[in-house]
Amino acid sequence: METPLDSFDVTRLLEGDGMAWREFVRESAPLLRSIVRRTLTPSGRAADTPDVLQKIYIRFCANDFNVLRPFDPHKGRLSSWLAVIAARAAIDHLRAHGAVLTSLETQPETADVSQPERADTGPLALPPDLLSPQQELILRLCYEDDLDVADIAQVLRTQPQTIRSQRHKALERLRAYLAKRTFF
Amino acid sequence: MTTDPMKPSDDTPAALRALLEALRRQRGVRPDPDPDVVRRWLDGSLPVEQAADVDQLLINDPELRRALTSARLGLTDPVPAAELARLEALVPGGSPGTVVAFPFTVRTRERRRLAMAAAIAALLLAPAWTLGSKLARTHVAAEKRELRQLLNQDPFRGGGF
Repeated sequence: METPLDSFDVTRLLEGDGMAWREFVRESAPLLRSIVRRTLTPSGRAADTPDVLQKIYIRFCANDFNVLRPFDPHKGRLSSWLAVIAARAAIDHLRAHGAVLTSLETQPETADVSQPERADTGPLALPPDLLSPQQELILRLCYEDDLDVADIAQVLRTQPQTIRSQRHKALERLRAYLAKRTFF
Repeated sequence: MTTDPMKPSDDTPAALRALLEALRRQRGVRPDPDPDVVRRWLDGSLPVEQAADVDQLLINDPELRRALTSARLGLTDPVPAAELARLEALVPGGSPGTVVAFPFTVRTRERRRLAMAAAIAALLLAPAWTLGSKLARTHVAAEKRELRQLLNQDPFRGGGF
């Protein structure tokens, strides 16, 4: 999907066009901020988004726009180029600082410890080698990341019907596997 | 990028590279994906076989998956005006090379915490300092008085020594 950012001419920045940086920031910041925030949020670090975003832009303009110089519009889209840098920066930030730990004091004291908690969040514990990689990815996008069928289809560049069918097959296979395990 | 001491660099000998890679795998460190492959996956220009490798990466790395799905869906966030202004001001006048860093905006909360600790320390130290100097003055005055009393005693009077 071509965005207005993709038609931005990076050479204007490199040539020192006075208004280019301002335009570049305005076009790119909403996309990069979304990538950073969505990557940091599950680890409880959404509040770090402005810091990480600022570090990314400092990197862009440091050393005479050194990071942006190798960009070639004939080889790919600018939005993809910048998205990879933003994703890397957010993941590096998480690896350096880790997830925010929840204090026990903030937990409700009335929780009934006799009832096992349902794991509604967090990674799915899928049996290895049971599903095809695409089926596993669809289940994770659907149940871990809460994406709907249309979004998953857009992410995987396929038809919503294919996603529905793959998800159905994956769930059938899982049900059969779990039934067999319960029986023995 | 963070530097990983276990990550081999280009000038590391091949045997050592293999050993470091094996150690990284043993430690459970996920290899960093090739940025060029990920870019082409985002662009949709990656061959099917290589796209399957990226799918595998997305299965194993939930952080990368969230970042890339957000990018592929073209999701955007409204950027608060103050944040936008700070980013625009990084290059005043758009001239390359003049980077203005904003150290006071980075890690603001930590700095605020440090400033609070310094203020509390100053608040505690100020009365302690005042009390201490007052006590010291009193002590010196008492010492002087004692000395004067001692000197006023008879044996010392009139240059007895």
